[in-house]
Amino acid sequence: MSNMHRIQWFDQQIREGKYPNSNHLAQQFEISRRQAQRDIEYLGISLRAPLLYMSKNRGYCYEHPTYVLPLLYMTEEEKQVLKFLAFRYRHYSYDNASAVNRVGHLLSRFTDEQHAGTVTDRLPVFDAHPRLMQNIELLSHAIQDCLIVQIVYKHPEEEATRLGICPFRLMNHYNGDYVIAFCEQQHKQRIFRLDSIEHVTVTDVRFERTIEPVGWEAGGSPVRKPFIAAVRLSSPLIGETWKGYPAQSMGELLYNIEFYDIDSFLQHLLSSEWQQVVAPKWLRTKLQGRCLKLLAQLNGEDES
Amino acid sequence: MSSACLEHIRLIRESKSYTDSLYAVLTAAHIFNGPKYMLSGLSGMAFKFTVHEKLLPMSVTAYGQWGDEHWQAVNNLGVYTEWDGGRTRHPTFRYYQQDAVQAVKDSLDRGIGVIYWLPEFGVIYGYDDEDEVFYVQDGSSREGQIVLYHNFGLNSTPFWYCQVFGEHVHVARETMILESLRLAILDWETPYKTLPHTDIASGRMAYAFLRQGLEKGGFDEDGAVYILDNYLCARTEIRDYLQAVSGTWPELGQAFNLYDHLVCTVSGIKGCIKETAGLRRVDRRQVHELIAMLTAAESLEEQAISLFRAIAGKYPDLKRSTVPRWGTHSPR
Repeated sequence: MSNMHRIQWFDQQIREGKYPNSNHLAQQFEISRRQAQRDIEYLGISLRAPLLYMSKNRGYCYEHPTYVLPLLYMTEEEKQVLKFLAFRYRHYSYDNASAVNRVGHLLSRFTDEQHAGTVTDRLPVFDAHPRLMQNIELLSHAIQDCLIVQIVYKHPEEEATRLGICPFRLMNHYNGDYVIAFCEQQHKQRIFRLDSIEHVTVTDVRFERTIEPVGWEAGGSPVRKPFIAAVRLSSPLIGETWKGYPAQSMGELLYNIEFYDIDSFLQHLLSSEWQQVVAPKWLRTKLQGRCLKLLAQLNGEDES
Repeated sequence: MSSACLEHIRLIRESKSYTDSLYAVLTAAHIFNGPKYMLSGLSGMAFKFTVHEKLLPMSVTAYGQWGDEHWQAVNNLGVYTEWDGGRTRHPTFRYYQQDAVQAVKDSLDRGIGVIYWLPEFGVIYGYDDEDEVFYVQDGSSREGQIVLYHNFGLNSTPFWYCQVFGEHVHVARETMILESLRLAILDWETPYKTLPHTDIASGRMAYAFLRQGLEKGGFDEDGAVYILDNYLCARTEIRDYLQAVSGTWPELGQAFNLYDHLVCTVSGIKGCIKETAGLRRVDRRQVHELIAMLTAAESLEEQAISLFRAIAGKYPDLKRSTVPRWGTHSPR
């Protein structure tokens, strides 16, 4: 069961000025105090509620009363789609079936679908440690913004060490979470277990992601590389995208544009302003083909 | 910076994607001359019939371990071939990929196209080192697809496959036909070609899976149409093939008659597929007629296979009477 109904009750109690605590939550829902405390931690850490413990009242209140719980509203249609997806994933029986089935079961938790109560319908239970979740969140932010991170890493049977790392990617391998990063102290790429990271501090210092790290794909499927088109534009770009396509400046008005779907990009070229498609050759040929086809259509000529 | 483009290769989707690709490559390289049904028959590809219990579209290409199946098919034509493939998640994938990229370029430099899993099977007909791309035909459009060297082998499935071809030697026509019949018997009699998975059946058992799938109703709509289309195409190919080789042994003439009858019997399948809103779907009201047609077809095919067995029994089968030390073999 989801803990959201408990959190909503807790939120309501705070708003009514009843200063609820873990005991109240545990009693109300007949759960352990430890579980109740985890719910409160989830509210504070993951849902970012400005919780403040008032020792005088022996309960919690909000530091900023403007805080609202994130909306968890789902329309009937969305629920239907989700239900369908959950069903398809649960009954998928081709490659990686077990992993896909697990996703299916996870999705079912968000639908109101009632199962017949068979033993096989039991849902898997995952441990979601608040510290781990917090670390994942901080590291994701650092990866996205290319920020150097200071970590306290405690390898089993070793002393805890403070390291500066440039995180590249998070990965999961045999139910363990890892971060692939460049270690500044050791001048090499390393893979760190997230549950061995005791503390994470994201700094303001940016690092350059110039080369693809070695072993980038370790533990996961290989990553597909985008096509790159060298396009000379008519005016400089503001920001790092060209109408949604990631763009990298290569000189005066010349940009390297990344794209995955050829048809969509050709469509984009036909409807956007640019001066010259410099490379690749095949893209120019395809674009030329499209234009000729369009011209033939316009002139009412037979395509073949 | 080199490049190559074999513009004369033309992949046309009619049969199984592998047969279409093989035909496009071999005919362009003048290794095989003749109609597609002959290639399909001689290689044994026409006889491959597999069905997933849910009638998934992948049924059509799930006819066994591709390396073994395709090698037998191409070897029977006397054509040299090498293939590579595997799971893209394997840590050594990038090394095999680099090797395969070079092998594909070498083959194109020799003027021979390469079969590549997109999915489905397609033909690599060109490359360009400057842009680091391969040009691939999938048969669906004249434009084809572009695959970066870096993305070679990466597709929507978790596995990759490519196959290159070399020179060919002359194999006696009777030898090729006899082996194609033996491959047909093997495919017919083997219930599951992708063990340990038993959700995809082959040959005789595939008929049962197809009927059960249609009867139960919870099948994949696109898959069912694709399987039936391919089934019809393959049966027509077998009939034409048997007609062409019917003079070799008298039993083949009888087998041709049976397949001719079969094709007439199942021709009604087309009428059981209706087009609604641009989508072709099995007409659920006609499922019982469909099942009756398939039951009759199975019986005819069973009789035809017994004739193949009678022919095959006349000659020693050295390939299958010696336990190989490589590849697959049945446990004794």
